[in-house]
Amino acid sequence: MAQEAIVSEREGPATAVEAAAGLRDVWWRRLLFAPTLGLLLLLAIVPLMFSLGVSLFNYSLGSRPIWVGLGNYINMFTDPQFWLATRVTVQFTIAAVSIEVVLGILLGFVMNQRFTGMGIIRLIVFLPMMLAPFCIGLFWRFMFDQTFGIIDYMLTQIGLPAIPWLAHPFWSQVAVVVVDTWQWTPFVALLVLAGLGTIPTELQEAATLDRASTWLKFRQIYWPYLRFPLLLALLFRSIDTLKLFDSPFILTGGGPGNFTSTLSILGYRHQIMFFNIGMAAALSWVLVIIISIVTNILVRLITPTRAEQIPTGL
Amino acid sequence: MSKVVLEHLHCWYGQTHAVDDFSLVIEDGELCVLLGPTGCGKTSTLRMVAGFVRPAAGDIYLDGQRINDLYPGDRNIAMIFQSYALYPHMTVRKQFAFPLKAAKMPAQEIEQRIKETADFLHMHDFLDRHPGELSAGQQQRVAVGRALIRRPKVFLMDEPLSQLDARLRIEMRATLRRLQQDLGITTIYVTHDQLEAQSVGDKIVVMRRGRIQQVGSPVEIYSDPANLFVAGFIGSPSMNFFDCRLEQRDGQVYVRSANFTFPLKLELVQKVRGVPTEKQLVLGIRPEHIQLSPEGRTNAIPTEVYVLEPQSNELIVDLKLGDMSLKMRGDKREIGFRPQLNHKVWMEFQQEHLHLFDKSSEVCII
Amino acid sequence: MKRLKRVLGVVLALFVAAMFLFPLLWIVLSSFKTKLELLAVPPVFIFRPTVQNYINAFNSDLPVQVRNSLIIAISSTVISIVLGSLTAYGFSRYAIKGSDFLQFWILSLRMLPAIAVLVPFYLVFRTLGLLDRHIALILVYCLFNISFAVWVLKGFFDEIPPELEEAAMLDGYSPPQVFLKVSLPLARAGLATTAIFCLIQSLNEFLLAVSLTTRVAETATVGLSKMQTLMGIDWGLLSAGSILFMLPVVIFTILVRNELVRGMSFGRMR
Repeated sequence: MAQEAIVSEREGPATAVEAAAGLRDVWWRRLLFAPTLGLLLLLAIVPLMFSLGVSLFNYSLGSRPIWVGLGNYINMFTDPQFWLATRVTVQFTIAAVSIEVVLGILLGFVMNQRFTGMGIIRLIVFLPMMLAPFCIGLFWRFMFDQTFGIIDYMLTQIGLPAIPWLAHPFWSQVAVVVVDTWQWTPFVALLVLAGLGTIPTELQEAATLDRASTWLKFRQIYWPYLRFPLLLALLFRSIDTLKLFDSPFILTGGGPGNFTSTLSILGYRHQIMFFNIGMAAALSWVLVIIISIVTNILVRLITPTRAEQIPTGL
Repeated sequence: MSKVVLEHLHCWYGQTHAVDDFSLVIEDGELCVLLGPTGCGKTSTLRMVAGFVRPAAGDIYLDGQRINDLYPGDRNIAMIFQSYALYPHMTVRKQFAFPLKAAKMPAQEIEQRIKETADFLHMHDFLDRHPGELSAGQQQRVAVGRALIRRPKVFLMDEPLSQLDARLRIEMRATLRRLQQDLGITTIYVTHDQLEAQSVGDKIVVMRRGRIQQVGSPVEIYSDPANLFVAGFIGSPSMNFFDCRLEQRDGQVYVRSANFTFPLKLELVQKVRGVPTEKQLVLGIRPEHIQLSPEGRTNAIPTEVYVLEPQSNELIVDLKLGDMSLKMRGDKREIGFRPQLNHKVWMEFQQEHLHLFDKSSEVCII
Repeated sequence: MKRLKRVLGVVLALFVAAMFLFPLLWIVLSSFKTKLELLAVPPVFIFRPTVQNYINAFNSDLPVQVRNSLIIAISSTVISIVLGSLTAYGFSRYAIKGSDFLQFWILSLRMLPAIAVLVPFYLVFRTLGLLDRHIALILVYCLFNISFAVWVLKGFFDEIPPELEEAAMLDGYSPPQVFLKVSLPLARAGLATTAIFCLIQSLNEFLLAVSLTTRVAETATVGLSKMQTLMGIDWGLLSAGSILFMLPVVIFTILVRNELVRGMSFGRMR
């Protein structure tokens, strides 16, 4: 008889609030979830499904959509522009993220010092990532300009040749990576800083006293606490660079010769310039899938043990 | 009248049967202690009474009314949490007003009650401070005040003294007890500290693994433990236990263990009639019921002094007997002599306080 | 040796600060230059500053655009905070079937590339005639803001001890009242931080803004992008305009600077 009353681990209420809430104001529970989930469903699922549907049509704005099934996808996969954009996107991601992570760790350690004025320095360092990527792109475009840009001026001052940054297939890519790194390395540093903050003080003091090699110190003392923040940084930066649009768009417009056109820019072009909605939809779906795969892989790395918050009821 | 009746309560936590067939009657005005080690289900039971945990089976009655389906706030029960659960963002005054505002009490009456409670607990000087600015003792008084101010029918206390240091704990123990008696509020008090339970409770409920082991007054629990667990849990230092058997020889009944044998007194022989001699038993005797003498006497058992633990006017002696060890406790003066380390002393058990337990069922025979 | 290390550390810190400060300073400087000075080769460092660019910026469409940006950002943030805090609280206190999955799904919305939602939204809004209306962007931004808010606020709600809510329930408050009077006030810091981040993210967005608005509701980022005329870019105007636009964000950043590190450590600070 008592067996029937067994409440399995999943079915029991998680907290007293939940247990007691069944006794009063039952609508409350629904209010907590329904509006949000409803809105998100409306804003996310519906459009995505709609987009999937659109991608199966040859739809140019102004004319009637024509069913092509996987036609858009086939066209896309045989379009050298697509593969160029993919290569460009992946190159940007790998380059930017690796530089940002390495520099971010160093920057994090530099920011971890304490002396008067560090507060202001931190503020300065953390400002770039809060500003509109679009504006940052604008500023760097001004600075990278061949003619009056300050970058080339400084290069020539130290004896190096001026580089036609924004017009060169390779250097324009470098410029995009530079801009992204400049804006987002502080983000990685921020996560590193937070991670350093979780290290018990005794351990930190031991680290400064210890005469062991820097590399060993890093591995034994710092790495365990930095592993999680760095994986988070890796996750966020990878996804954001895969999605990259704003800075290359304003820096070079995707040129020269589409050498800085990311997949997002390509999609935008199909949408707004060619008005080829079907293709734009197909392309954006491919991008979503790429990002999902990458997210999945990285999230699996991040969450070794997901110990959900289990309340003690005893 | 605020009599609490708990009938056949069950609750599960995951796969564990946290509370197993718990039935209890708590009379109006009584302070009932739920005592037991961590994980015994005492807090779960308390939380079921509060309404934070829905019982999987069973009923809870307050004043004859079944309250299983009543929202915690509608049960007219107040609780002192182990962590006090004071609202960090409110001053003490606001904390007191908070429950009264929920009952839509007029502002003037709220003022009145706050003043009364502050008077009662002598806490005028920190009414306008935040919990973070108060000491542990002050916080505890705020917790008490917040519970009191509602004039509830039942008080629930979840290890209310565990956050205090030893001295404050003893002080507050008496204060809480006095308070409860003055106000006559039915109280359920949870603790794992058996000393605390004994000094505070009218009735003690000893629990283990979700089940009630014994219900009784502090004296009953102490001198008439129902089973091995209760006997070993109550008392400090705890009861000494020896595996033993009964033996019949020359018309007398002997208690035989690995390292000693002694005859059982006549009065007790009556009680063990019917116990077969092959049966494994456990002998239990409290440290305070052992007598020591420097010379041997008939039936006295020779032991060796292993450690001496002097405690102000008492002495605790650790004795070694073969591979067994036991503790003895007594007033220094009553012992009569100074036991020396590594010397032999003879011990005798005060048989009127002796206990025999069935080793397998753990039930008390004597 | 230790002294040397310390000095090195400070020097590095200053160097790093300079690296991040320099481009910003250069733009600020540029905003006070005339057209000639801006395009001068070699670049001009000493000059007589002029506020003409700022005057031009104020006379352009920029103020209206900034206003649009703010309206959209604030509206979206308010909606997202309200809904986000409710749901975050729900995830924190209630064991819903599939809670883990739902949370992950909500978090993953944050990862959506803007281009993926652009296509359908463009079509839908076009059909509904909502293109170039504030509500369009407000809704779209809610998608990202709500997911961010739920994710961050859940962590804050998790840190509130359940006993406080239990005590409030016992004191006679219903679950919604407990949320309003106990849980929300205690999550104040989290709410403020989340709100500011949502604001910043909404203000800074570009792709969706430029695609879904043209004249009436266009945001500042769009406006700035339109400053490319056929005759080239008016860098002075652009610098001044950007600086004006970025001012609110700079102020917000100063406000949350202390929360930045704390927020990123997900409640595991020592």
